Amino acid sequence: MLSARLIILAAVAGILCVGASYAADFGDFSSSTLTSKAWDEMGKGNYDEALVYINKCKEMYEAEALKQQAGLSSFAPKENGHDYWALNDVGTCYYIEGQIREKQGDTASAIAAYKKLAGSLKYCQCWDNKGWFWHPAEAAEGRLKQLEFESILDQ
Amino acid sequence: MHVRITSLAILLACSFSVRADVKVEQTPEGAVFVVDGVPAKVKGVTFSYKLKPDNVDYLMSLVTNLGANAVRTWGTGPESLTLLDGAQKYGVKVMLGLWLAHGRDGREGEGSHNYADDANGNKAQFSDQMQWVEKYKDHPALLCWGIGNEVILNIASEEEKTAYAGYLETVCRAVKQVDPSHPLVSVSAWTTAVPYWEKYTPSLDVYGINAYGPAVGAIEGTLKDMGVEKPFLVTEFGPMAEWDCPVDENGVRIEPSDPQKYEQIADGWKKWIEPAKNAIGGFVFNLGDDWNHTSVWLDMFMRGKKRPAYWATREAFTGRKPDNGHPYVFHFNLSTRQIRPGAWVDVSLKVKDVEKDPLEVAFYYSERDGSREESNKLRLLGFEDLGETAYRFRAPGNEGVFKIYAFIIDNRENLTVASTSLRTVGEPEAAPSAADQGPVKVEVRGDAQNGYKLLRGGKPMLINGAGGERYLEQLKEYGGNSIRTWGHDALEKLVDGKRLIDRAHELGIGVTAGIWLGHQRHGFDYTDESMLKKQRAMVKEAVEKYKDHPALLLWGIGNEMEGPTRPGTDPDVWKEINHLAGMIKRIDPNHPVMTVVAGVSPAKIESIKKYYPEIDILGVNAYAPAGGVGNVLEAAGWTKPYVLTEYGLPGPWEVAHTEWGAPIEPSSKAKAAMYYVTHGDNLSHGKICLGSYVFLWGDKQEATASWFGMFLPDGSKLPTVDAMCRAWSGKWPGNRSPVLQSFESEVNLKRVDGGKTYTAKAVYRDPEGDPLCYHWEVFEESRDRRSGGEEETRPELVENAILESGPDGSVTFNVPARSGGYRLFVTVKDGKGSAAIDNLPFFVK
Repeated sequence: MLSARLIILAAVAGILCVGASYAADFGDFSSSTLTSKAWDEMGKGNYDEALVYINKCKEMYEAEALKQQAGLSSFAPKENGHDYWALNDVGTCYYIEGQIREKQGDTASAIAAYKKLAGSLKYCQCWDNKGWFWHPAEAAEGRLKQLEFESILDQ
Repeated sequence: MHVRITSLAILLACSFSVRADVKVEQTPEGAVFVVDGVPAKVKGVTFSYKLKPDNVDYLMSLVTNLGANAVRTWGTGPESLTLLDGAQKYGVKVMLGLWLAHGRDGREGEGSHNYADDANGNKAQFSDQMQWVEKYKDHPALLCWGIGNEVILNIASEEEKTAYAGYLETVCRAVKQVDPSHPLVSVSAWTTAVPYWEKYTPSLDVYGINAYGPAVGAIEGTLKDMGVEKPFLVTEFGPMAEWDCPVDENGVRIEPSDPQKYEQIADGWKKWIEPAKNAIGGFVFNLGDDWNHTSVWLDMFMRGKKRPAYWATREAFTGRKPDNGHPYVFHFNLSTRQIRPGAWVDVSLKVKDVEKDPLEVAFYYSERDGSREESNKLRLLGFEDLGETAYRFRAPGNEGVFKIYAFIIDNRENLTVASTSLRTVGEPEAAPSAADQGPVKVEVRGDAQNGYKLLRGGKPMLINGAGGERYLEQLKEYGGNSIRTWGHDALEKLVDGKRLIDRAHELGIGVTAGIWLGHQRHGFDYTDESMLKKQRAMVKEAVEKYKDHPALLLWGIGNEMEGPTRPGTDPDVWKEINHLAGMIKRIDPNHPVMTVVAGVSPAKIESIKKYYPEIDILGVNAYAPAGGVGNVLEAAGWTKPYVLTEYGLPGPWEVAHTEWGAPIEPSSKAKAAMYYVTHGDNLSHGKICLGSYVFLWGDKQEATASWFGMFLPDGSKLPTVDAMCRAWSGKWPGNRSPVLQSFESEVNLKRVDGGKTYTAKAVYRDPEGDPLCYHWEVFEESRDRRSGGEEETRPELVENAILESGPDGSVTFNVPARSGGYRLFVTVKDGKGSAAIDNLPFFVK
């Protein structure tokens, strides 16, 4: 029931977005689709477009992601990893957002995205097609250290 | 008069675009140069920097900041045009030296020209020097010619001195004929040349006198007593010179203290030069930056740090006190002035900074009884800070007389130096040679569960190391404690005039001695008994040679011999290395054996565990995944300690590439952060991690000329060195490298049309606010790419690509017409030994 409501809400939100400068195609509005599209657009250098998908994913699924995170005390085992779909996709979106903000030179926003991921969504996992999960929150922690040192360099 | 001189400076800055007419005149205020009708006294500095288009603005701004209106050189050449143009831009005049050879080896180290009987040599020298007169006589920044420096002093016989003075007259007449608009000066050490000039060289307009300390106050009277009427110029002036100073108990000249030097320049100028009516002015020695015994005595900068002469000269010329005072040394005492070579010497050093700036201390020495070249060198002493005012250093390992220096640096780039002397006699007590001191036992203690410790001489040691064979003093200064070599032949390389391993020992740096083993990909066959036998003999010989050297820390047998891209599971390789490790440990029970592999994987670890049980420490070279090596090892069940033996930034094989396959190099700023973060991440595996070696403490072409190098080829340190200094010591170095803020161009990562003009702009911030010099180059993309860090050739420089560059970091450049990949490089230097380098790849369609 909750999922159905979310999809309806998402559809409405998607229609409202059509009138914006970028006509996003949210596809089936699933978190995996939105995350995949965000990756793709970032890869093409279309950062603003990627952020549209990221924001949509966060808007629709962040509450569920936080719930899933609250139910974990460590990384889910590989065989159950995909059960935490919202956590995984929303967390990954925060990682992509951090990458985009870095490329845009917006260090403060990048740090905010990475901190959110490392702090609130730390058990998120991202599937690598080579056959394993990697951990965006750990990567975010690495980026945070890097950015923090770069900010020290600027002092 | 003062007001009129000031207005001269303004005139110089604004109005000269044609040759200046300079005369010597006597006025009621005394002798002056009259430059286009405006009288002026010279407030000058001698100038020994190497000028280039990209540092001329910085250096000329230094001159004007001092309040100087002139600089003096000793010789003239093609590069003098840069100086003249820069001086003109900043309203500074130049006394251009015309170098005349000395008659015998003297302080300038010149050869032995005989003016009395070498007519051909005289003629050749005449032609050489006259070309510069022709070339520069109309330059508006030219003040006067300085023909010959201390030549009479450095001629042995009366006959030759007389011949020289006559020759000088010939040169002067010729110069006057070509250039009647600039006065002629020749330079004497004290007044030694004056009698000859008076008799044989009437064409000189002004007598240049080099004099130091209070002697300067006696020049006018001495010349008057000699019946001289011509005006004089103090062509070198500074604190009391070495030859005038008394000697101490070891026969070493007692150098004036830094406050004494300051006073002799700042007050001496006012007391000895300004009141001398027949003095046209003077040049303070020396606006330069070197790193040697003479530099300590007289230079205004050392490695970019201000010496008291800088502030003293500014006060002499402007009346302004230093912006930030030098650290003040209350006392610098050694527990003894004579000791056995290599023994520890206790030191009491009390120093205070008026502004309470944090201070760094280091101890150096120079030989006082070696050759002139050797005695001018400064060498870092291995020392320990014992707290409060107590230190100790290890005396040089050979017999001799040494000047010992305490260098104290505040965080405002002021360098104070205090000095004393030490004589070493007798048998070396702890000499750096293996035979004399013997080994320092190194052992690994602990276990995987509770953690491992590396003990050296019984003391715990965390390896803060670097891979490389140069810049050992900087490594020590910045908090490093070990170097790693890849082969044992490197231990014999000369560093600071000594074997690398001996120099490392002097500095208290432990050496992981690599022993290079054959690589399968280079044809070494680990099943070929004859090859193995030969290699075993080589390893045995190396171990026997160095096993007792006190600098030895670890044996590093083999580097990535399993291959950078192979799985690393070949039992033949590991079994043989196991054999070698066992042999080494039987010969040398005092040093653990480490073997270095290219990255880790569960299969490789399993293979090493199975076939190589003799290994004490696993060395791992890793780049992108370096911070997580400890995790991988633990997950793979590795229970012995490890050292991260190469790390830094992701390798060219690990980063994103352009569409045409060029690896995208991280920025200099990002690199610094990567080095720092990886160091910290590695240490988070403290239980089994014994430390790390950063790569590369030097420079190297690998994909690009800047990918892994932490220094430029000229020795300038890059931001990664600053990052490691911070990581190792918790502090920044005294002078930091420029930090990249942005680097943009329309060609970045793009395919562009050939033969067209484009622009780029790089913005850097210097943490100390130093003026920055930008140097731009376009190189072809490397076509000589190899694996495993093997030597690559540097790609071709695109000649004449740079059309125009500005001091704001902007550049206009031509891209070549020929299709292919290229990179635009910018190198930024702060003029004080620190730099940054970045590049952008592009492709010509």
